[in-house]
Amino acid sequence: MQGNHSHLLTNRHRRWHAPVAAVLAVAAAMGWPATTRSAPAQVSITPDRVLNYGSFMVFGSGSRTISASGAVTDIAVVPIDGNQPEPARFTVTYDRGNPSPTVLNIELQVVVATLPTYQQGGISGTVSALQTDLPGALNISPGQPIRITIPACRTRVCSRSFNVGGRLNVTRQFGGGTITIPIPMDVTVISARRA
Amino acid sequence: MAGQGRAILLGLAVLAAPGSLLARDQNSASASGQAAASVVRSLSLLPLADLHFGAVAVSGQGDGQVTVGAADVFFAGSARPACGQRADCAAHPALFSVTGEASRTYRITISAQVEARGQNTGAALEVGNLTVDSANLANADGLGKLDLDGLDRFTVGGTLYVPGGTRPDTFRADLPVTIAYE
Repeated sequence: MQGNHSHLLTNRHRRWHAPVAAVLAVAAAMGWPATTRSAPAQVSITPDRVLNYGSFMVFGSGSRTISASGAVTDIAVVPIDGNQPEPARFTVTYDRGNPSPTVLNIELQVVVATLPTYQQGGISGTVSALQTDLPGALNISPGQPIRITIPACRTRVCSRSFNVGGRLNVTRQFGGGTITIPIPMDVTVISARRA
Repeated sequence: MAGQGRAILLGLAVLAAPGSLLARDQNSASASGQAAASVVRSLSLLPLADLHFGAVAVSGQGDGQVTVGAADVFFAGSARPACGQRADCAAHPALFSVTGEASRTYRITISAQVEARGQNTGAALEVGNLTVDSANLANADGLGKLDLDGLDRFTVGGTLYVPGGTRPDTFRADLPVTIAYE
């Protein structure tokens, strides 16, 4: 009976064995076993560097613009030696969750939220005229979607960094202080397709 | 045959997973960077006293010098004080008050060409060897420092060169002073 049962199973599923084995062989070659053990894919965005406008004096109102490449343009402000002005830097990272060797073209969308106004004591400041060093998004506005592509991603984790500059308008009535303005940023995966 | 086809499709669907967006994936994320700037309180300079060499007399032949420091006055050559009991002719250094950003250092620059004028005769005499002393940063060669409240004072002294034969007078100098953050 034991032998018959075994024989029956073999007969019933024999016709499945060849194609399934073939698929599994291909899957194995493509790293599929790792896929079955994989974590969910995830995207993240990391602020690597502050958009640093440095130190300056301003009488009344003025502005300092830092381009995405770090060029500084001053209007009605007096530069003070100190910390070096530099653009912000962000990194977007896509982790596919497994070490599959599949080559992916990843398309992400980044959106900068509306930046709040700084107001404290006799100092107020706003950041506007944002710019990046991303192709096609040299000048951006809050709420405007920015497409970032990571082509031919061959590793589990792929990332891309970009700079953000902008213009800081400052009004000073009295005193001094340190202006800090958050730059909220969202990233969304549009697609992660085989190359 | 139909069963084989379903099996292959199932396998291919599984294989397609690495390049597809799945519901369990985390497809969005947020973070906040920051913009920062240090708006430095502007420097303010208020003159409180002139550089005053007091009443000075020299002999007819020999030159003299009067050196006013932060706390002392020295007479050299034929120069001698001629103040007597008058209350308003004592020598003293110039005094300035500075306000600005707390704990910051600033540089004090004074014109290289400084003259003192006689109050009665109008004689213009050369002043040299100017010295600057910050209350918060002693012996700093033209530098001053603001304290934690953003305040400082500095004095400016110097040497008045008085040629022999100059009529006795009371001499004071106007100092063009510029300050700037270091």
